[in-house]
Amino acid sequence: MTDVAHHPKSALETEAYLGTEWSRLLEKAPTATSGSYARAHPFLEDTDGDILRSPRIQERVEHEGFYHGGTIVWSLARDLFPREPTTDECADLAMLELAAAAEAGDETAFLRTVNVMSWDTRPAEDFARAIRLALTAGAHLKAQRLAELGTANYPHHAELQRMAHVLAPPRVIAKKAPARPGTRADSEWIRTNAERYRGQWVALRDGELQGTSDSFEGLVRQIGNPKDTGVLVTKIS
Amino acid sequence: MLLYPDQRPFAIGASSITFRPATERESTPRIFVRVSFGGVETQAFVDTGAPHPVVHPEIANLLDLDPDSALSHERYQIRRDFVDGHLHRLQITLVAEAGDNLDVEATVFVPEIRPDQDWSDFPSILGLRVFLEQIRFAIDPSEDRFYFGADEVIDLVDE
Repeated sequence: MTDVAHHPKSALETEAYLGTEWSRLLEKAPTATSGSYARAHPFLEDTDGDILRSPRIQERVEHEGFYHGGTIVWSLARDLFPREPTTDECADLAMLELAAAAEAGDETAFLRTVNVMSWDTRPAEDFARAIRLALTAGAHLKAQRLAELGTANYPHHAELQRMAHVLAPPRVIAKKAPARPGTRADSEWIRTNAERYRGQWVALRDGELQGTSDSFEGLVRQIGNPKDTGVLVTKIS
Repeated sequence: MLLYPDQRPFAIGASSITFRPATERESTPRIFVRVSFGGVETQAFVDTGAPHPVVHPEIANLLDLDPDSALSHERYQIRRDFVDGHLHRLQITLVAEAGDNLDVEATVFVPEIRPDQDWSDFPSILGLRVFLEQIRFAIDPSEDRFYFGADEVIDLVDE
């Protein structure tokens, strides 16, 4: 479980999502026994888990099977708001769920939420945030897709452009560089000598040992920068 | 080289693979493939559980990667560990000993190692999900060979 004590957002960001309703909601939440659910939710650290310790929420968790941080907040908000949440509030609660899923490293929950969100009207900042959350959740292909969609919707947004560039699918840029048959000898050398050089960094060219060292830094001191030389540098594990 | 039944090429190049544990602490043999990260040739092990290629941080130091064009990534999971680092765009070459090299511009992860972390025992990685899965590859263990190829247009699979 991730330690949420270092999460930088929490109450401030939550307030931004829920506005003044959140403060009233905090005031209404009674304090009771401790609950482990707070640890899965990134936005509750400043409350010290008070909301999730409330018997009312624990009852909901026990009877309705809620266990996900974002879902718990949703449930609480619906119970304590004096009115139905507006469309915007619902949408922002979905962002809360994304954040909770990411913080918990729950890719399945993240994808479940992000796939039912309507992205046509989302601001560019939400795309950028969702992309970062997708990466944290381990939903790397979804991050790629969101970046593509974000730049399509906001073609002049610099951050989204940068994200789309970095996360773009692999692109074959050349296919006709000639083979180097001598590289086979390097593999043969490793097969033959792996036991003897285990734990060492080695440099090889066409099956000839160019250098060996306990560290990568030491190897580079011996052979120079191997970039664009065709020399293989690898650690024998 | 490998061909489809209609004689279209499946692979454009092939290289030797070696089998050895990923780290000194392990005993299970892994598949290591020769690869060039931005011009530095090394061996990376094929990790079907990893999304991106991972460049050993000391190798990455030689590449003059531009931090301004990178994307920070916290808590990137590499096998059982979480590390912070950056995603970069980088040219990866699958180095052929027969056929042709395959040059691919792709997203790679470069770990940012804290002073209390030790990466020295860990190799570079070729991840499946965001790299190998999006080109073509095949492994012939009897010949210790890794075949690779790609279409001009790469189609992604929806999540």
